[in-house]
Amino acid sequence: MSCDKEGKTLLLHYGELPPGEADAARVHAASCADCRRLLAGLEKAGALLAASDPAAPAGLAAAALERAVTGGQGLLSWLFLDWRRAAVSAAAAVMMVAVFRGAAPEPVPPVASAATIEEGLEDLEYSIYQARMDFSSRDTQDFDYKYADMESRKESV
Amino acid sequence: MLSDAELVRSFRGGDEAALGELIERHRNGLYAYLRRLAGDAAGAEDMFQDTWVKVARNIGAYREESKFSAWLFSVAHNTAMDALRRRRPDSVSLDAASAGDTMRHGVPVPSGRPLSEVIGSAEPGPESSYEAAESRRAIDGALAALSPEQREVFLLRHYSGMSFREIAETLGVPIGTVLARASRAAAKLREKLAGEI
Ligand SMILES: [Zn+2]
Repeated sequence: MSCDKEGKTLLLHYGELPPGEADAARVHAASCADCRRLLAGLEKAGALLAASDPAAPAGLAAAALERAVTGGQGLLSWLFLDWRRAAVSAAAAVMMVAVFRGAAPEPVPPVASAATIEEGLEDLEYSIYQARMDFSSRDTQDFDYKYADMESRKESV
Repeated sequence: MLSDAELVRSFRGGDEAALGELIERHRNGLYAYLRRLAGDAAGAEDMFQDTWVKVARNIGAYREESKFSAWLFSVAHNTAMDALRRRRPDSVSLDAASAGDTMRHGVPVPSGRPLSEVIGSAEPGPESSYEAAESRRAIDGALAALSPEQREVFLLRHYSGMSFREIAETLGVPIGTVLARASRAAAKLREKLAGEI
């Protein structure tokens, strides 16, 4: 990043500059090798995205509509998504049956207390995550500016 | 053809087909965005459905002064971030087992993992042609070089049609931060795609 007008060039590329400023930015970009490369990169990235965008799977829109209007799980959305979860549950059920048929009755394992511990851990992890997000959102802007600044200084050196 | 805002008005009036038209209209763009963000098809499909459930539920919150697509993508973005953060350490790549696992207690379970660890680069999807496969290889390689925050801004700007200012509002960061991320993203893409240009 060696041209200080790259921000304007970026806005120009996405059509976010008012006409007067856009003309000036266009004139600049035409005579600036850095900005021309920036525009070429953005155009190439946009073209590659467009050329490789995956199409939404057939049936996804109908399933989404059904879920959206019923506010829950309709048959279509079940067919579309929940068969995966259902398959996992079914596999678990089959394993449970196999275990109980193959072994003598055993004391019930302490599932409840294990679940409680796990939920406690999850609460704790979530608190840590929230604290981390609060911290990073406060610092990001300064960091971004400083990082961009340091990068451009590094390049000019 | 009715505008998005007119379809929203019809849907608010009880016309469910109007919502269907909105979903159809934004289907491919929204799915492509979520697919790149999720990195896998199953995750993107979940996020796609969840997005529309939230759109339907909160349609009263949409203001016609702003573009519907901008509002839609801000709902989608928040939905995707929630889903990505819920992924457990062993379920970064969603497969059948982990898709069930993230909802095991019937409630979303935040994994405590930061954004930088949960946004994956897109994994290859089904190849429709050699050209598409080559394009995907090139752009996935370039996107993988971006930081998660840079990738987030670049993909939102590309797919949503939101302005950088609207993206700043959606992300809750200053416009200068968004522009800095976009500039860095553009510089890295330029560098990575140099051989492709
Ligand atoms: Zn320049």
